[in-house]
Amino acid sequence: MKKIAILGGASCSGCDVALFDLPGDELERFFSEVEVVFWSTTMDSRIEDFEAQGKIDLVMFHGGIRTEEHRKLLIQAREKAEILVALGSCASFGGIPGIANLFELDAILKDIYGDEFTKLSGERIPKPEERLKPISSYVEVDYYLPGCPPPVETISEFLDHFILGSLPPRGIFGKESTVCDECDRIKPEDISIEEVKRIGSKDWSEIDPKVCFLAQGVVCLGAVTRGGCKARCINANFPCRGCMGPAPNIRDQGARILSEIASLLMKESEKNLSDEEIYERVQKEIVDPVGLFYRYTLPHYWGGSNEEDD
Amino acid sequence: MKKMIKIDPVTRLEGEAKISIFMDESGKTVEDVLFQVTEFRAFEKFCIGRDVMEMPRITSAICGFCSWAHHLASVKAVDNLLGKNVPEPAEKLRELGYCAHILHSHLAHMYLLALPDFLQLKEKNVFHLMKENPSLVRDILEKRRYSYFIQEMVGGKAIHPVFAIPGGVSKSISEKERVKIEEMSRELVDFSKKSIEVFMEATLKFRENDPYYHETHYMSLVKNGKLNFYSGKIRVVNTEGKKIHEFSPEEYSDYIGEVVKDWSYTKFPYLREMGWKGLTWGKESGIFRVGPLARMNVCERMETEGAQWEYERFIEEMGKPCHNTMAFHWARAIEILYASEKMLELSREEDIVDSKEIFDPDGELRGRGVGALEAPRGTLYHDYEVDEEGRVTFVNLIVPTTENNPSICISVKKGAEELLSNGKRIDRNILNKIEVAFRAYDPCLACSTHNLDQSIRVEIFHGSELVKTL
Repeated sequence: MKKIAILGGASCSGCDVALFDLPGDELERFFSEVEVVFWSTTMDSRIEDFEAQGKIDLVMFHGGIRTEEHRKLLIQAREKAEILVALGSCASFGGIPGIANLFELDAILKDIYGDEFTKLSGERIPKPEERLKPISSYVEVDYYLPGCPPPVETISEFLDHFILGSLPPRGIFGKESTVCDECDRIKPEDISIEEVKRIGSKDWSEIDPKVCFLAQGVVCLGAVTRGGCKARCINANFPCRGCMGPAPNIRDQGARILSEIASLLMKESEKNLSDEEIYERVQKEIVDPVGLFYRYTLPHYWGGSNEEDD
Repeated sequence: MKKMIKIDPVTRLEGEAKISIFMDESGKTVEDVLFQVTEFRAFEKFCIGRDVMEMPRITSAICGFCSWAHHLASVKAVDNLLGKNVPEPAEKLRELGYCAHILHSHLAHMYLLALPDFLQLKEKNVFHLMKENPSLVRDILEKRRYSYFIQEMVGGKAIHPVFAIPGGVSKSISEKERVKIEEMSRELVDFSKKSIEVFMEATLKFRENDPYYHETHYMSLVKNGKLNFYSGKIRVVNTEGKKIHEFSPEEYSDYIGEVVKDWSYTKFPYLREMGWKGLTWGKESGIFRVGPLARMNVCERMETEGAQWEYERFIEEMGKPCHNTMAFHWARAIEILYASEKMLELSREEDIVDSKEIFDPDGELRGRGVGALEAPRGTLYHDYEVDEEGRVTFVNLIVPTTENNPSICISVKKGAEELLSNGKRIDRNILNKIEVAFRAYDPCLACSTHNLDQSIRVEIFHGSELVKTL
């Protein structure tokens, strides 16, 4: 029987919960063919049980690395795993908690708990790392299942392939397309925008749910984000925030959408603007560019690599 | 030489934590027990600088078990901050989706995490149960999946929904979806009724001898005295069941204080009127509890018929207020019936289908906004302040597991004292019984450690020497 383990770092456990959103018969079939050797959310497995394990066929790790303990657990997981999976966007790119990398650790601890705590932390509770990092910063990852959480269909497809021994070559397990490709809103040929509209603002009531968000001046990351989610958010009339990570062939998801929006804003402008002027214009239109363009991926691009720190 | 026993991590709950039990030098008496939340993510810090309009979409990631609670508490805070008047159909859609979420969260806890404790199983987990009783587990998973579908239809995504926007919702539902929701709700009402029997029985076994019994005050939202998950006023009743406070969400900080301990990433809230008196309980203590049991103790009645009948039966058997910690399980089961019945009722509303009245475009930034609701695990507060452009400058979150944290520590300590006294042999079975203490609360550490990122474990210390990790 194949052995599997599910563990996590700085996680909301949404990826854990998503596993139970699979159809009941599929879950029953899957769990009748594998032995779960560690999954503290659902069973009484202790760290020592995990340490006692030899090789484990599949280890799924959710959450980024925020504390020393997460790091140690991950390294053990890599040693034991035949196949190591980054489950969800936090493990893959750092995820939303990765926005904390905008702040120094000392400032975080001091602001939330006060001076006294900062001195003592790390003695009786796990020591936080300076920055949150995706798991690939520390170990080699075999498969990435991005998404916040990964779409149920993707998880289901992955587990099927695992059982059948028919997994594709290592890398991102997902679609080689963008969210835009999966979105069926009308996309005008020629787009230019005068101003950026915020969610829930006065202008929001003018939004046509049949037309491309970007064309209407609403920031949407669909064009730079990997597909596979069936454009669920957009279909709920909410723009894409990029949780599936960068689309194939896009190196920097945030930078790409930033330059895209800048150029759409500049289209009407007659003169050639300098980079600085463009940046100023974007700053004026967008209250929080980092939190919007790098919401799920900040540690992936910034402060996420060990080499840069060393 | 003192001795320490460690349970690491504590299991079948949401997030990471450990329990450290300190024994005296003889190794026979429990000196202290720490329920330590060891997770750390710092939401309160990194939300500073974000666009307040995006907060509902950012803060849902505090917790994957109760993402809807954070999504909606957050949007309510922003509605409040902007002075938006959310149209009626939008309020109905939010509440409808939220009832589905109560089911999604409660059913996961009841059946996937807690139920194995009440059954004679060789291994206490759902996978073992799947082998012993596959049709039961299949039925549970199928019914729980209804709540997944309803959440997705209403909220866009089942986990980390997107539809609630400041001023309303981004979409309504179609007639086809409404019919599906109505059908599923009807089945969920029946399923909930069956579930109550299971968890009532489990609770009654502990009625005369609940090792985790302790008297506290209780807090919950009520709407005209009735249980409501989505809106209302906050009411506090004392250990005797007497109403001592009733206030609006914005006033929470006048009533609740918080202290920090250097051994946990979770804070310790208390009622200001009594003050913080350490991990003590009773009428003079400031410790209060939230969640299903608190809601039974605070509210006067249930809005829906079936739930009202069950509520009366609960009070008849358990009294009011009920201080038996194990009764959390029964109370939680009654709540899934209420949520199903309320969902059925809302699914018959005409104005939620293809509605145009789902968004209020007006509103001005007003500096501060507070939103509160009943999360599956208790009263949840989101409190934001912004600058003139709507950039967040201050965030305070009070989450249910944090509110219950002092009581969880007490329950675990009481359980440990009872189970480990007189030099009883310490084994996994005993430690599992200690864990039963916190499982009643359905603690969610991902939530409580919105500040830092916590994990749970149990450690048993003999003085400063670690003797056992479990």
